[in-house]
Amino acid sequence: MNPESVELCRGYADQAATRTLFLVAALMALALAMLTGLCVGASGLGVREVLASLVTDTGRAHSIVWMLRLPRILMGALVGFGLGMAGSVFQAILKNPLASPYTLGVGSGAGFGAVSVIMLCGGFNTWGVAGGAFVCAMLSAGLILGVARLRRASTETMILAGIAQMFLFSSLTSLLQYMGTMEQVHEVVFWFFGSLSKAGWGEIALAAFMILVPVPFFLRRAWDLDLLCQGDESALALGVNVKGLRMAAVIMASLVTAGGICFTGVIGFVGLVAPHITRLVIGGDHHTLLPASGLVGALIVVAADTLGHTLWAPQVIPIGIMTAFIGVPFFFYLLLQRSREYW
Amino acid sequence: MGRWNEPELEAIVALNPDLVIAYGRNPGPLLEQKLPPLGIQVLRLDFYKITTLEREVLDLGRLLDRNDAAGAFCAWHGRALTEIRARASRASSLPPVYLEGYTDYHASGPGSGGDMMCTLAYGRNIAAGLGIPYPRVTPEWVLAREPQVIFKAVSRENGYLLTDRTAFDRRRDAIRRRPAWGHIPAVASNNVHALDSAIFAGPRSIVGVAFMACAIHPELFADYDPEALHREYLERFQGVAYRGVYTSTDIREAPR
Repeated sequence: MNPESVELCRGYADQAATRTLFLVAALMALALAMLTGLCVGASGLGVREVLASLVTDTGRAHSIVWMLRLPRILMGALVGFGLGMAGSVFQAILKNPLASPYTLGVGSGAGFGAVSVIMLCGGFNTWGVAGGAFVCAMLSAGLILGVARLRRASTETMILAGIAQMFLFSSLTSLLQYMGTMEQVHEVVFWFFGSLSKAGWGEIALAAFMILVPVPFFLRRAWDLDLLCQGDESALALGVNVKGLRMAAVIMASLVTAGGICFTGVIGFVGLVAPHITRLVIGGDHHTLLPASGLVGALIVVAADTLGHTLWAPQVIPIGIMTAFIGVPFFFYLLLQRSREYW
Repeated sequence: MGRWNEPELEAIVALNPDLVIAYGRNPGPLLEQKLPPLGIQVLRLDFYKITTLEREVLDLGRLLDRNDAAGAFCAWHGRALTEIRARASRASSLPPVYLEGYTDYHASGPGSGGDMMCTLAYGRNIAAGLGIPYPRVTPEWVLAREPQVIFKAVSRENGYLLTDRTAFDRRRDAIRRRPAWGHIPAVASNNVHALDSAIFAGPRSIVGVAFMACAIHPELFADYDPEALHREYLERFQGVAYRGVYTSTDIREAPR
C-alpha cells in the first residue's frame, strides 16, 4: 500500500473512531440526562427512593416516578430523537442548511389541526387535539407532495410550497385564535409553547411507533442521502431515484415529526440545531449523522425539560423556550470553534 | 364592539356614546388615545377583583346617577361577605387549596381574583407564595403540596343556559383522572370542583366565595345555601330569573 493510501486509510479510521466515540458519548450523555431528570422534581424524592420506586411499588413515590416523571422523560427523548433525525433528513433532501422538520409547513399544519380541535370541537382532550394535529400535519405533507409531483420534486418547489403553506396555516391558526374565548386562547398559546407533562404511556406507545418505524428506512437509504447532498445530477448518475427518494423521505420524516409534536405541541429549534451540532463534530455521513442527530435532539429536549422544571421551580419554563435557550449558545460555540466550512 | 383586547373603534364612535367603560388594562392605551379627542370619555373598571368591587360599583353608581342601586348592591355584598367570613373564621385551620385557571396546571397565584376569593373563604392557596398571579406549575408540585380542595375555573360554558352539570363534571373528572393525582387528598376525598367563570370572577364572585367556603369548610356551612345568594343577585340586582348551572357536583355535598 502506498503512503497516500495509508494516509487515507488512517484518516478514515480516525473519522470512524470519532463517529463511534460521538455516538457513545451522546448515548451516555442522554442516559445521564434522563437519570437526572428522573431524580429531580418538586416532591423532593431522594435518588435512592427514585431508584427503588423504579423496581418496587412504594406507593406515592412509585406513582410519581412511573406516572409523572418517567413518561415525561421518555416522551422528551422520543420527540427529541425524532425531531433531530427528521431535521437531518429534511436538510439532506432539501439540500438546505436552514431546513428543519417545520420547513415544509408540517409544524404549522399540526398547529392548525390542534387549534381547530380546541376551538371548533370543544376539545381539551389530549387525544382529540393530538389527532387533529397529526391529521393536519400529514395533510400538509400530502399537499407538498402533490405540488412536488407536478413540478418534478425539485427542492426549490418544495421549499417555496412549504413556506406558502406555513403562512397559510399560521394565518388560519391566528384567525381561529382571534375568534376564540380567553380559555381557548390560553390553551392554544400553551400548546404552541410545547409541554411534555401530558404524556402518558398510551401516548408514548403511539409516538414511539410513529417515530421509530421510519428509522430503518432512513438508515437503509443513508447512502442515497449522502449522494443526494452532492447534487441531484450526481445522485441520478449513480442510480438513485431522486424523485422517489425525496417523496418517500418527506412522507417518513413528516410522519416522525407529526408523531412527536401531536402529543407535545411545537418544540422548535431542535430539528434545526441538532443536525448542525452533530454535523459540526462528525461530518455529513448519514449512516452516523442520522442516529447521532436523533441522540443529540433527545439530549437537548430532555435537558431542556429538566432545566425548565428546575430553574424557576415550582413554575415551569415551557420546553419550546428552553430548547432554544440550551441549543443556541451551544450551537454558536461550535460554530465559532470550527473555522472550516462544514456544510 | 370588536373584542375584549381589540375594540372596533369606528363601531364604538358610530354609536355616539358619552362614555366607554373598559377593563383596567385591556384594551391598552388605544382607547385613551383615540376616543377623548372625539368627545368620548373612557373609564377603567375591573369588577373582577372582589376586594375592589364595592368601590368600583359605587363609582359607577355616582357616574350613572344610580347611587341608591349601587349602595344597595354594596350593602348586600358586604353583608354576604361578612356572613361567609364570620362562619369560616370559626375554622380551626386553613385547609390547603389548589386553584387552577382555565388552562391546565395554571394556578391562581398572589394578586389573582381566585387567590383573593380563596383567602376570603378561609382557604390557604398553595400557590400564594409563587410571586406571579398566574404561574404554570407542575403536576408533581401540586401533588407534593397535598391540597385538600381543588377548584377549576371553566369559561367555555354559558352557565346560565345549562340545565345539567355534565359539562362541569367532565372537567372535574378530567382532573380526578390525572396521572398519580389519586394520591392528592382532594382527589382521594372527592373534593374537586369545577366553577363557572361567571362566579369565579366578576361582580358575582361573592357567589364563588360562598361555594368555595362550602367546599373548604363543609362542617361550618351545612345550613348555608350559596344558590340562594346567587338567586338574590340575579333576581334583585340583574332583574333576570334565576336559572342555570355553575358548578360541578353540588359543592354542599363535599365530604364532611
